[in-house]
Amino acid sequence: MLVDSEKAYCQALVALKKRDYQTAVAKFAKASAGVGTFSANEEFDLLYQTTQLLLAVKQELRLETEGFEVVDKELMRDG
Amino acid sequence: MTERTRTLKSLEVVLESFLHRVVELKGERLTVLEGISRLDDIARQESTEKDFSTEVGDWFAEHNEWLTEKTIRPADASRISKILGEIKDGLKTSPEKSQETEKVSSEIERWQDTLKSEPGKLDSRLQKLVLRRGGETLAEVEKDSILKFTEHFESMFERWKDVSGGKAHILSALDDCLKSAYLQLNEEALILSGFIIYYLRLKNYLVEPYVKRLKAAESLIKKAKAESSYAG
Repeated sequence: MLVDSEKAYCQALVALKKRDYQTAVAKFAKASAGVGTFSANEEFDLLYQTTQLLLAVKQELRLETEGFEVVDKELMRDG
Repeated sequence: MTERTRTLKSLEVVLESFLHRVVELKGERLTVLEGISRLDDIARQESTEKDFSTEVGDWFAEHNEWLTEKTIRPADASRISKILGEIKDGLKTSPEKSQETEKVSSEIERWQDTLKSEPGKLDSRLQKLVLRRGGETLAEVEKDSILKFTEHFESMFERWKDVSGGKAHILSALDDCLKSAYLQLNEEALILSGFIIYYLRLKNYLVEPYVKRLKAAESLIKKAKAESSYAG
């Protein structure tokens, strides 16, 4: 059978293809926890960190939008 | 929309397009990895949707072209062969013996035999191809190269119309072209940028900063190509 970290990397790439970034980050994390397979792999690091950054950006955007929604609701309520 | 939100939005687009491009570059390689991972899932019996023999049979049917095409590498062949061996061992120890499991076992043997011999076959096919190419006449090769260049030239002209449309100066269009080359690793945009820079140099423009950006984009594209040929 495939080594767990290898399989996780493969699943991370498949998740990226489906634009499922949450799953991709989880799988990258699993792959990086494996025994040294990807410790010196620049491509792995780049993809992992880019996906993490993308998720952080999406989270910030969500907070901004939700923040605006809360303000809007409060404005509506308070007239 | 605030300036911060706009910046975040544009960062989101750049990051998503980068990741999408990487996945695109991996293309066929990713399909192979997906296939191997799927076989591994079957071997681990993680999927309970179908009967085990049916799952293996479906996998064979779906990936049958791997035996005849040069899709997989010797390392992949050895991985697949190993996983198939584990599936076969599992079938041997299984208390259920049916016509289906017998069929799957013999199909596994066929795959293992072919996978073992395929790397050698691939090598000899490649050698034949080199010899055949040596026999081509110069006129045929040139005709092909002219056709290819014409296609690229036409496509570059379309790109030029896109990037220059609505711009006030050639340098703004060049800036866009260099961005496409650098951020999207677009080779056509790189060639077009080089062409524009050469034109500007002949017209005595100061082009050094653009040459630096061109070289940076060129080295990124070369690196991506080398990695994609390594990764598939």
